[in-house]
Amino acid sequence: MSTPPTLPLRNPVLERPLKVTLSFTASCNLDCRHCYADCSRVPRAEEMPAADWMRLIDRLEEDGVIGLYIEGGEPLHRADFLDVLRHAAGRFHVQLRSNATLVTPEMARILHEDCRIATLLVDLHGPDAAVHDHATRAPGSFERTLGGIRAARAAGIETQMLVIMTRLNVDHLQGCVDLAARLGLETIGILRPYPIGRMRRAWDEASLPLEVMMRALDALRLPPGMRLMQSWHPRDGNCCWQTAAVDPRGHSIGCAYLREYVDLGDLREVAFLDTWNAPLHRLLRSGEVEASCGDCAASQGSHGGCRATAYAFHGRWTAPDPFDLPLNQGVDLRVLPEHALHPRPQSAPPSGS
Amino acid sequence: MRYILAPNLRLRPVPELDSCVVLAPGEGGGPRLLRLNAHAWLLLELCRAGMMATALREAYREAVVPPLDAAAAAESLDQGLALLLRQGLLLEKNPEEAMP
Repeated sequence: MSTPPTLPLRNPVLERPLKVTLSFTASCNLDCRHCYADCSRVPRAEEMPAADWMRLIDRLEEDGVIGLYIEGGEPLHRADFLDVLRHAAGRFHVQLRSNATLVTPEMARILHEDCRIATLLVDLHGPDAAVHDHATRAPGSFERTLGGIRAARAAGIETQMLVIMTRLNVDHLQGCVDLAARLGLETIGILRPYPIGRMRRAWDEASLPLEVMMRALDALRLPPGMRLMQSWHPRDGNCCWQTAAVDPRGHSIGCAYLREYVDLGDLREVAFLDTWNAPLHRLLRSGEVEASCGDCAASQGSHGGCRATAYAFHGRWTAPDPFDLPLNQGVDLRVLPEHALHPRPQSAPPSGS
Repeated sequence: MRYILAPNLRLRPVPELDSCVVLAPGEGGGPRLLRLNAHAWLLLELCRAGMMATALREAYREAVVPPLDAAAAAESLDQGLALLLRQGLLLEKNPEEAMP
């Protein structure tokens, strides 16, 4: 259980970020009932065109960014994505998050040889078609995703599985671990659900009590050599300190999970580093929090846990993260407060904070 | 003998954390990201300057912080070089190869 933090309540300070999440598009070929990006089939007109993404990537390289975490929506669903990915090839450590349904053997070869991605992170919602296809609302998507994973591995791409834990799959997590092992994957990430996009609107059917999530994690049995990534206690990091994020419109938003709470400006109008140094972004990165879990601070080197779920449930940027058991303070994670049901992006911390 | 940086490295100094992140091509797989401590970073920068092994030894001893005596500096340097060679971040080059 938690011990008082011995570290000062400050996160490490980076003058410039090392990695940036690019939420390339809010379009997708699936129709997931809990989609964070609230995806449409066709990219919205407000999405940044490829040429602007390329200019931004050049800017990020100049500003010292060395890692890109690219997600969607489904990036491969947008016709101009490979142009952008090729533009970043060899200049960044690129991790691509995808549903993998469009990863054919030829696409896998392109991703590996031309785009030189480091890792493919594949979202799966369950260990079989019944659970997965119910979540994606796309019959056949489970088999196509497995085909994409196999193609990526055959092409030599380091491939990992990601599973967002919800009420729909909490009883199937061991099946996901076993499936990952059968596919030859060495890493599986079990991710917390975030109350954003369609997941927010379906929170009643998707959310779980914290105790249930913790029991589900504790019950997992990993085969030898498999690594589990999870962000609950004792590994609840405040990873804001080292990262930034850009939404499909080209707005700087701090973290992809803050997309409905933070808007630091349009990067076609303001400099990226100006948004990095904006008071709200500095506050999010600072580690100045109302409470910190000693175990998580020790394992993650940061304080207070995830700022997105902290803000979602408390409405304060400095609040403790209720997904961390010692910091939960009786918060029922199945009940979203009013401000989280109707979020409004903020550009600055409230005066006086 | 001298040491040179492997081709296609991207160095991203992180002085705030006394470290340097290096993007390196993978061997068959995707690119690798490595985080170097201050000693390994110093070595990489000295090798980037392109000095001969004897000059490198002297430069490392003068630059390393905290200061080390000659034997400790030599041992630290050898360990660092071995690590960077093993990671594929440095290449050994004979003087005649180094000539234009």
